[in-house]
Amino acid sequence: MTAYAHPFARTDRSAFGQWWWTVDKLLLAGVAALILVGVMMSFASSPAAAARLGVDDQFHFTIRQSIFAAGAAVILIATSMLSPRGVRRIALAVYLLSVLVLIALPFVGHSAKGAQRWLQLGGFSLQPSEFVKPAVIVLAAWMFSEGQKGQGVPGMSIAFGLYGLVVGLFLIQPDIGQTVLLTIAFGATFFMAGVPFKWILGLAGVAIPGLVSTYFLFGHVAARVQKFLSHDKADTHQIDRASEAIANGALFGRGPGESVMKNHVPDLHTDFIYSVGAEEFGLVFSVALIGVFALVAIRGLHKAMRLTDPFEQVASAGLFVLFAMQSVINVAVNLNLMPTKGMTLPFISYGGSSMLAMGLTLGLALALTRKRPGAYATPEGAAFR
Amino acid sequence: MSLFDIRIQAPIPSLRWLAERVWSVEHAFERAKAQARPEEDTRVRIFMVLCVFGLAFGLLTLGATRAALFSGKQTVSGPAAAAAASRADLVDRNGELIATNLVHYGLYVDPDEVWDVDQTRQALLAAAPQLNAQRLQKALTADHVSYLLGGLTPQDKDRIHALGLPGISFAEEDKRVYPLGVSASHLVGFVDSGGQGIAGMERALDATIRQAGRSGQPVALAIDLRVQGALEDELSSAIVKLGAKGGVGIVTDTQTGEVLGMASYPDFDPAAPGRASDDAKLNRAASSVFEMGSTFKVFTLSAALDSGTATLDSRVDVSSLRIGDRQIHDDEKSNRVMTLSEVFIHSSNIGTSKLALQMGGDRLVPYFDAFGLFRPAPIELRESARPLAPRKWSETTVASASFGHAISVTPLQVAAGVGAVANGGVYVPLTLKKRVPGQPIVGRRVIKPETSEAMLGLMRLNVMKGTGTKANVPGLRVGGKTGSAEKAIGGHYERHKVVASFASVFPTDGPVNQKRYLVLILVDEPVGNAFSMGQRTAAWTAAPVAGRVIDRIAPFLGVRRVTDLPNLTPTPVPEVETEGEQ
Repeated sequence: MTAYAHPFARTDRSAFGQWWWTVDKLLLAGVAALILVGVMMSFASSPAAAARLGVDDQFHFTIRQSIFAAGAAVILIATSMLSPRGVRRIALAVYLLSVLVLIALPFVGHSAKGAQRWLQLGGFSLQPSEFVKPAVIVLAAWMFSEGQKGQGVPGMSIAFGLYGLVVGLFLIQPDIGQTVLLTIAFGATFFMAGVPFKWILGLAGVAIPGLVSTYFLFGHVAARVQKFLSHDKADTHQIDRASEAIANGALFGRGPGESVMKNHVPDLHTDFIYSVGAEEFGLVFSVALIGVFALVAIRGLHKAMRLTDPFEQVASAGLFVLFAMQSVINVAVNLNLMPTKGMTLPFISYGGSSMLAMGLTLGLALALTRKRPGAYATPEGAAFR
Repeated sequence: MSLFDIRIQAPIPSLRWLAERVWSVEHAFERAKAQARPEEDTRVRIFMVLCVFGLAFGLLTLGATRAALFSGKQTVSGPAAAAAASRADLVDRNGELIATNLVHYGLYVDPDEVWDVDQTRQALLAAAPQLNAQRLQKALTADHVSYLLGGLTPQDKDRIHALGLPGISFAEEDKRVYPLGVSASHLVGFVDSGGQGIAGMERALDATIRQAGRSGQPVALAIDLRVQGALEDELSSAIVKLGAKGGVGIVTDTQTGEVLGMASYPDFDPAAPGRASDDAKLNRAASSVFEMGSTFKVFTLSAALDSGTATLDSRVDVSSLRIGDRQIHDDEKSNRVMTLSEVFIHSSNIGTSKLALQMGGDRLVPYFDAFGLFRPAPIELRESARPLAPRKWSETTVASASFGHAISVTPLQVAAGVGAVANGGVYVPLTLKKRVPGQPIVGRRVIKPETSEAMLGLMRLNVMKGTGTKANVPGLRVGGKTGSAEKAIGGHYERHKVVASFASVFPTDGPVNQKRYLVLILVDEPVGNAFSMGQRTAAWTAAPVAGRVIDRIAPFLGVRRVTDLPNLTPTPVPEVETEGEQ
């Protein structure tokens, strides 16, 4: 028998050892791959973005992206070590803090690109709306499960109250993209928690007029939707360049650093990073990237499905929905299948807030899907596929 | 006791009704969960969501494939094709060029057509040393056309073209060029590499400039580059000599509101805005607010005269003034009764405060409002900042504001307000666009023409006998008012940090509708040195600059010199400047 010393044995009871043996490695690997691809892509996008914004240091955005990536990894690992109770506590703390900041924002925030949604902290600006989303999902799932226990907790009302407060604050900014995203994820959470099917029809009756009035009330949303529907040649600079870039990339891409489009599109390093990647590395890369997103989303939902505790099930599934929804919307916008919405591609787009908040989102989800005695209906790796 | 019971006992019937509804819904939700086999139910639902996302990712993969391979958009999108719509030239009021788009060239290489890779590489590197050797090598051995270099001037392009290398091609690119360098940089602003206006007029008139660019017409600005040149030259050299932190200079035509010159220091090169600090890019004329000090007395005395509170002959006891527990000070203490003119030329805080209190806030504040002191200066620039004005007008506030404290405004607001005092009493919005001759000018009356004339007389008197003597220019009938405000830092006034300003008008004589020009000079934190006889005050720092600027620009503006009458030769009075609440 060869003496094989694993860094930490299965019998290792230290916090890290326990974490390593209980966390889902496939999910972890998927997220790690996304973070690394994000840093790699910033090498391609940073010089062009720096030139556009007149920053002298070519790798300004690469350096910052690397710092954010490290921060996200730390948050991811730290939160994924939590117990379900710890997850609820962190979610509550993050919720309260973010709501406080969101309320204070109109007074202290600094406004970027027509909306006041940033908090300036040292050299970085933080966007509290990014962090509040996972917190709402976890708290809502918790409240739904408490409500269903029938012990006098008006869970559903509290969950809707928590959601309503945040959406109200989003709409004041106004931040329609985040509102839509949170609404979909919250709706999915409510659905998974077990809303009667006949209610769903009723809710649709409320949601559809809501979306229609959003369209008419907020000028910039209407303009974007109309632009998408009308395919007006004059004003679709970004998306036209993105379509050309993806077409230029074809199967194998133009090669690293060879993207032409990145010199001509604002937000190339944030909302349109997918197109830059598709131009430089081609369809092979894009399909692999979509594959990794799909892997994390589907694997995550599959694990959530097999959990036993209703809170853990719904909360982890809701967090994976948040992640999946954001990636689907961003890629769909890049492929011109949806109107531009100003949404980032999780872990890949440049941006501190979205990066750190995604670390938090998946950290919490990993914590809930960790192996624990009695957590899963069937032993890990066995039946129910 | 559960929350349920608490809710039901809600006191108001409608609240009770609401609580009951809420609870019936809660119970329905709870029952639905209990009736469906709980675990299986959520599992099935999560599985449905999973399927939806599986489908979504599948569709994205199909969409990605279609976009990459079957979109039919396989055009090589070179920089020329993608460059933003061409922008119009910017010219000054006389048609002199300020900003233009020049065609530059992008360099491409098609490896299929290259005969000799080594020779091509060496020749290109020799002709264009800025090329990256590794990148070039890669491009030469790639299997597609590559973009090597942008921003080549026609000379660069010709040099490379003359090498006669096969496989090398050029495409036109558009580039914004500012031939005057730093001149008028804050006013003109700059664009990003995609041709989007980011600051100054490039941003304010972005749409107009693009539209004009399509029809090939230049956009004419109001400024006169000769005036701008003289203003920048005098202001920058004074700032260096005075060791000041920064400065502002504004020249306007008071009747049309056209800004003929605007300078802000420190400045930056609009061709490389990325290399300049935010401080250098700050347009202090439009975006910085200052407590202006005594320059405000122009507004207070205009209001006092116009409202009939005082006449030029009114007398004010300036020996002392106490409001509550606050003492108002004059630097040159004087235990006498002054006429209104003396209050102005000796710049008495006590006298001005007393006049303001006599009027009362109810009458003074509407005048300040009409002079535009509570709103961002009306001008095209998006940088035009909001002033910091008091919300409540107590007696102390009225007194402080009457001599330019407790209210911070931008230099552009002062220029617009003093312009209204000088042009016969009409507030005309400032503009950086050249006015079309004959186009009616929409302004609103603030003070009577007689008040305007009286104020012009007072300002002239101040330059002849008061604090403004250093601004006098033989034959140009200059009038003006100084202001030297100590900066409020951390709640108290800092003696050594002074904002020195001089608002001047010329010529001050002639009929009320005479063409008059305003020159506003502001020097931020001058140090008292040999150049200013050890003084920081506006009389020694800002006023001389205004005088030299006026001396230089009057010929361009068509203002004729007249022979000064001997009794109108200025006779300086002792230095009495310096405000601030001690």
